[in-house]
Amino acid sequence: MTDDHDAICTNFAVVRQFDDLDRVVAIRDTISALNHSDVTRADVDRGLETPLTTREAAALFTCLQKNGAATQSATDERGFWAYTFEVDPLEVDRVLTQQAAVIASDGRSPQTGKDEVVEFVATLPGGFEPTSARVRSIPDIASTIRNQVFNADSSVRIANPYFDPSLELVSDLASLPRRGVETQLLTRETADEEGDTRTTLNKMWDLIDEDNRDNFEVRDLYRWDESQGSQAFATHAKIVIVDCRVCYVGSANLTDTSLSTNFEFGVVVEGDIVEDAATVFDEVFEYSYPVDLPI
Amino acid sequence: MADSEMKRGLAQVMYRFGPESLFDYGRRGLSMKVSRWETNKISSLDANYVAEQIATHASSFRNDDEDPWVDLTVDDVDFRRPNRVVGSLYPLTMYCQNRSCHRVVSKKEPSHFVYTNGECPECSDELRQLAFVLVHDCGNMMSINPQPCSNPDHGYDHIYLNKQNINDPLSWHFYCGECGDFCGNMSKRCTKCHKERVYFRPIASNSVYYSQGDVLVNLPIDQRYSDDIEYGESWARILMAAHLGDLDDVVEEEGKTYEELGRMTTDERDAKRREKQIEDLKEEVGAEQVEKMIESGVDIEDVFDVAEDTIKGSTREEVVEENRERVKLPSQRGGDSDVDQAYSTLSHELFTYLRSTQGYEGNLDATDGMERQPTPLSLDGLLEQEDFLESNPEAEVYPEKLQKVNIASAWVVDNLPLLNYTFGFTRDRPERSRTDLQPFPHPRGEDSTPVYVDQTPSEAIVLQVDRSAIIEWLDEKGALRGVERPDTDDESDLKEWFLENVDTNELRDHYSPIEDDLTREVYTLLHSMSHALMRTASGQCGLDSNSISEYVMPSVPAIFLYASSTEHFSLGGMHTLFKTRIHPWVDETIADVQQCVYDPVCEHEDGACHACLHMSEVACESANGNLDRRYLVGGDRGRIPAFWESGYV
Ligand SMILES: [Zn+2]
Ligand SMILES: [Zn+2]
Ligand SMILES: [Zn+2]
Ligand SMILES: [Zn+2]
Repeated sequence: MTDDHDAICTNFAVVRQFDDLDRVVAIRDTISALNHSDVTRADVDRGLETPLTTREAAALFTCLQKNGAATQSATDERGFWAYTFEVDPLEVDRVLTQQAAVIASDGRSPQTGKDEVVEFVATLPGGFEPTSARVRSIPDIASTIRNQVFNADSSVRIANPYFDPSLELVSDLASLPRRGVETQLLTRETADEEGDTRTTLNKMWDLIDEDNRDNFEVRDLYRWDESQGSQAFATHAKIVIVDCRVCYVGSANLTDTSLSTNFEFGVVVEGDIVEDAATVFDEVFEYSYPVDLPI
Repeated sequence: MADSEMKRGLAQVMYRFGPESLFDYGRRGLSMKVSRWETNKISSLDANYVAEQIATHASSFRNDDEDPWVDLTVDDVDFRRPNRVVGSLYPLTMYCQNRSCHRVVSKKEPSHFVYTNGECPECSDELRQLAFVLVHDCGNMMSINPQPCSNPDHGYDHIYLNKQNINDPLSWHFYCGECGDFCGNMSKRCTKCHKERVYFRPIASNSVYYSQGDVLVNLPIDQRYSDDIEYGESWARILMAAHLGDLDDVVEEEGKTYEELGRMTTDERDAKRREKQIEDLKEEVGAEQVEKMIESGVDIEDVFDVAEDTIKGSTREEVVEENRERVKLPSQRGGDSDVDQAYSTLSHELFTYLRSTQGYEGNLDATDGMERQPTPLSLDGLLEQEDFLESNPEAEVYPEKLQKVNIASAWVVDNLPLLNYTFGFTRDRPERSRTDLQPFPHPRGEDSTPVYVDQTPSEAIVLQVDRSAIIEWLDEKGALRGVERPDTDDESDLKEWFLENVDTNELRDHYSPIEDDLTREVYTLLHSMSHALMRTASGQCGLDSNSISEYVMPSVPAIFLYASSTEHFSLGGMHTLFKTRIHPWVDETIADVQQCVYDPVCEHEDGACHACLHMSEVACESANGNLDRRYLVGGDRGRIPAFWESGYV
């Protein structure tokens, strides 16, 4: 840390991530008011109306660290944003005041909110050789879901009718509750003794340690109409909603063929509209039948 | 019996369903032997290098002095890619599962069972395969068959299985139902080597078949030039020169590829130079004039003052000569007869490293078959992307974080071409020195030894270790006595030092000890680092820990951690790790390596055991040899200095 309290910041991670001047000031005041020097994201959240997002937390601590106002003092397997930092309150005041000044002079209007971002994703059929660069460059569904899931911070909602228990993505999903991420899974026919869904759910259950099993909730949406001899209703949606922030919707099941050799297509949406998807999911989830694990 | 179609990933098939292996056929409760593979011939691979690797592997088996392994060269090998597995019913002895019957039906061909309709000829109950085979460490596998009854009228017609003591198959035997004659038991003398009596194994036992093969990185060479490239020393020296930065001008300014440099001779360069001179002259004095001069036989260089460097560009001879002056390999100095092998290993390492970190130097669109070239993204390049930093603000601190473990540069590489190959199998036991390595039968009955290969794109993280940090550490450890220290401020001097002091020949066979002290120190340091990082990487990127493999290049020095998973959809894990998880990865690695549950025993003995640094054999390139945690964190009462900064908390 430096003794030079007039030093000019060289890193502007905060400016790049926050465009609300008041929010940066609130963070600064929160940290200054703490009577201890070890600071975590949770400490900052207590002083804010809306808690920090993962990106914001990462930007804040990067900026403080790069400008000599903080040093990493304890690690956390969840990631950088969950680390503990030893801060120098005077330095924090200097750094965040400068960042706030830059935001102010930038004239950016607070709380504009970013526009929705929409991107297509696909699994391309096995053996198929795309001729155009555009097709070649379309992101792969499996990696997209995987990356989203790894960035999850507080919640993940998944709707998916069919599973492959051997799929590695399944263990990735099981790692969510382990990391403290609230994970809700909507599927079907969990009672089917021969079915892969049952095997998969039990496997996920096994992978989650007892302390974190509360973070994993499964519901079943499937009813057979005896009188008609046909399916009355069932879920067939394939959705992954991460932190109410980003949402994948597409055709692929979480199976080997869907994620490696089928032609499957989908979109990834980011922005406020994702909250609509979460609302729909939540209502349907509520309507579905709770599943007791292990089955 | 129906042929079994290839549905699983090819790499997995190659490992588990090699020719002559045994497997359970689905839910039908049948076991089958892979009788052969249908294949296509493969030509586009670094055949010399792969053949050398196979010869090295083969040399540690008991029958290394026998055909086809003795003096195996590329000419003895036929590279093929499997596209279909053909299996047939095995073993060929069935018995009636009705407990009061146990009638035995044994046939010579699987098709002969068609007439039985799967039913006992005696009581029509279901026939079941005898779930045991005989295997010997010479590689032989035999069916357990009854002998005919000594009464020629009975022959094989009334054989039954005596399973009196159901829990002790050793006591089971065949007998004739007519006269009660003994017709054989569950063992027999090996029919191939005739040496020993062989006892049964359950079909599901591991020891029935051990596949022998490996994975290596196999970058394609530009096939347009490959015939003209002089391999061996010349190719190795061109790549060394490129690595040392001596060819930066020709590669960058003139867009030359290593392959082009590897083939350009002085004559060719002079011809090109003359062509260029003529073009320049035509511009200056007019085409007609120049044509006339040439026709009349005037030497244009006599008439005009032509600049020598109208065509820049080094020729193969120049580059090789210059590099020969500059770099003396350890095997060269010792008058080692294996110096050719050193050139071959070094070429493979340097070519892989250069292309994986710098990409292909030429124009990919103009080149057929080069789509398998790796595409690297450096950490520096990633940090220049504004939108990336916006979504991953902590990435700005990655370089500092990596510096804590002395990693100077890092890349994530897409499309890294992996070559999976299998060259034979052993039975009965896994130890190389106690078994015979069996070659596969040739699928077309030819004389050559078939080697099955599969090429798949993968992804890797490449870590270049801080060269000057290694020198400082070696010096502190006292390992530099009698060795000249390089100028640690000069990258190219440092690079040269590693080429001149690490003996790659010592590392060719990962099953024998490294005798050269300095090479062993450097390799142990890098290998321990590689394992420490591999063990924690899996948790960070979601890949199973056996799905990450290593390729340690001590002469660069660099570490490749690549996804060797056979499941194509699992790609992306290394990217996730590189882009978003460097912090927890490095921190967890540093913390993890400090202690082992078997400390203080582990620390005082080898500094590595299955609880701390060991990985499964598939993931490790050298069977967990040359590993020591103390190299990273310090130990042995101060005699081993710590390579890693540990005071991060
Ligand atoms: Zn019978
Ligand atoms: Zn008889
Ligand atoms: Zn240990
Ligand atoms: Zn290893």
